[in-house]
Amino acid sequence: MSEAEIIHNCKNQHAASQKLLYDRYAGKMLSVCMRYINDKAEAEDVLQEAFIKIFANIVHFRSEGSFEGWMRRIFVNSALSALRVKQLKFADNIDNHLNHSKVEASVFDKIGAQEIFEMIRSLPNGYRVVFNLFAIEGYSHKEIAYLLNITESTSRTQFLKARNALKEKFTNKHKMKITHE
Amino acid sequence: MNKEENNFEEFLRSNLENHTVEVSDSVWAGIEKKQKNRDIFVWFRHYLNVFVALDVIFVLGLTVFTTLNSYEVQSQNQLNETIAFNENKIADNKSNKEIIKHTIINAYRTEEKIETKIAENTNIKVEKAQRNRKKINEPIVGEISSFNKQLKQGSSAVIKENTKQNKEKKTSQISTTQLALQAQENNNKSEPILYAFTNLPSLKYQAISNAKNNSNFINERSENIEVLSASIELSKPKKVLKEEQKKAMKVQKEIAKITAQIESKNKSNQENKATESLNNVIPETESLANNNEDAPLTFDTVYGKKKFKGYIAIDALISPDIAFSNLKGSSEIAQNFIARRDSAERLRIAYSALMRVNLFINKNIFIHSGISFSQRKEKFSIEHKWQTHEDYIDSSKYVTIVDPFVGNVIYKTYDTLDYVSTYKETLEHNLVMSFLDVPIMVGYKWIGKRSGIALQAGAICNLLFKQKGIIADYNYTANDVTKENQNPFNTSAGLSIAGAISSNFKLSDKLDLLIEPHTRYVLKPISSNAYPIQQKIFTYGLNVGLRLKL
Repeated sequence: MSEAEIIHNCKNQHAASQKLLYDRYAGKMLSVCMRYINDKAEAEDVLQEAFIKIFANIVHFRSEGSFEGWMRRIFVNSALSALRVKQLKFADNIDNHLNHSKVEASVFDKIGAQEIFEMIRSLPNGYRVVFNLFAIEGYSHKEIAYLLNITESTSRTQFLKARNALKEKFTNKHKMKITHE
Repeated sequence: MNKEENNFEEFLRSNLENHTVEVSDSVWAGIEKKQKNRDIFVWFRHYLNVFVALDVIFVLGLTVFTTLNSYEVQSQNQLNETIAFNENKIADNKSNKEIIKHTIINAYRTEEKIETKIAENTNIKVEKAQRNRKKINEPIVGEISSFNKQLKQGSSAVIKENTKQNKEKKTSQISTTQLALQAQENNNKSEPILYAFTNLPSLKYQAISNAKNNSNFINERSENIEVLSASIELSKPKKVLKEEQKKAMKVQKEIAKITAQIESKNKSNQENKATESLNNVIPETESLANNNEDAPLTFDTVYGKKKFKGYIAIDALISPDIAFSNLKGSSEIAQNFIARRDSAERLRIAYSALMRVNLFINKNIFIHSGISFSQRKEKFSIEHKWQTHEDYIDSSKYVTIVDPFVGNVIYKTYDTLDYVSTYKETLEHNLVMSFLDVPIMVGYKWIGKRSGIALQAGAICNLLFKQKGIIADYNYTANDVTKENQNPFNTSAGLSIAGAISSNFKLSDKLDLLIEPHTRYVLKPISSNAYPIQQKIFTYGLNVGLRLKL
């Protein structure tokens, strides 16, 4: 069954199609949720709530854009709500993470999706949320500032710190791999 | 640098795009469970309108049922109360009869005592043996043949004398003071006369001697005997008592008959008969119940009593109306036309017919709604005059124009003629407007015994607004309104406010006559915004019809 057919059936509250939609996207969307929420059980709760929201509001989806993009926004928003982002603390102090570290091109070939996923999850809350929103989801710093109730400069700083931290993790991971080999 | 960073982020995005995490089964189970609950809510919300409609029907139905049922129960209870009351009354009558007997006995004893005293104090010879007192309940004392309950001492009473000596029965009207004087004047009578007269609430028997040449005796020896007030009413002549007993028996029979009817299977039909027959009986029973505050209420009617709860009634009304228009022109031409129209338009005939359901929430407040059809006619004619000018060359005349200063001929030509044509046209306006409306009104009713008056106000929603005929347009053309491009009216008349003063007169228990002056004002112009004449309409009328109480 095509995605359009599934969506159409889901709009008519067709239970089997809802299950199909769930099966198709649950794993991927749990990955999205877990990039924001470290605890898996909590992320699964968010996943559950977000799917219910999707089934309830799928009638409003006009098929004008990407359905996955539309879903992803719902999951991200649900995850942010669960994180209570307003209570997140974002340190503005400039530390050594702002020193731009470089990642060798060869590193990219040797690190898989799961490792990247884990590395992102290992970032501190503030870094992780801003990095996910900016680098992965494509939000602008202005949007992030609005979503997280922070200034744009804070968003930028958090992102830079997150990226440098991540690059460092990449390099370290690569070094460890070489050592193991 | 930027390129490298962009590559880094792109690398992350591409790697994470299809990254999945295994989801535990409990997630879908939870979704399914919540989804089911939500489905019920969605289903409920989807059919909310249906539920609301059903709810309204149910409430209305319940109201009707409760109202009718309360009448039934009330009728049954009142019937039982009436039966019990009349049975008690009959029993009371029996006991009253005993009281009368007792009173009469007392009267005999009193009379005997008086006679004895008279004999002791005067030289009048009283021969007891001459009296015929075989029947103890036939008093020889004077009887009140009639009396006024408002009678006070000193005022007159009709007294029937029944004396042993004069066997003729004599009826006289006499005052209490005159009574004593009369007794004195009749001093040649050998026997005392016992007169009775009233001084409510007690009944007094005053024995007056016809003591010869002993006027003081009257004052000294008169005796008052008070008897029970309960016997006052029944101290009327026996004939009256017998009539009342007959009535009571008749009532009892009627009640027994009605009770049997109510208990039978055809309850509803027979109940009507019972109500009618009981209502016929009630005036007779009322005479028994007049002085008893504990007497049960008669059956509730619309102008009901204490137990009134509410009811539903259907009205069918027709009304001759007078229709008015408020016209405003947005241009000078339109205003001129309106002025001519106002002077030309005389008769504004309209009528309306209305069927509505009234829900009386209590005996005073009611709401009603229904369907109304009304039609108004506009008919007038305007005489429209206009002129045309046409120039023709008059070949019969040749004109030479000469310069007045120089004297030379400037121009030679034929003359021209200006033909002025005057035209007259009568512009007919003959329009019929039809309205189909739903009135929703609230009212307050003041209730009389057989009539009532109500004030009501509310809104009228227009369902359908149709026109047919020819209209005289502001530019003095006649337009056929059935043609879409010539129709200046809106498709709906919109909302109106309405008010009425309703009078109802009871024809029977179920039927009222309604007379209802009413007015209606349409809030928005019925003509479209683009039309230069804005027409607002209002109507006065007199609804006449019937109200059937369910």
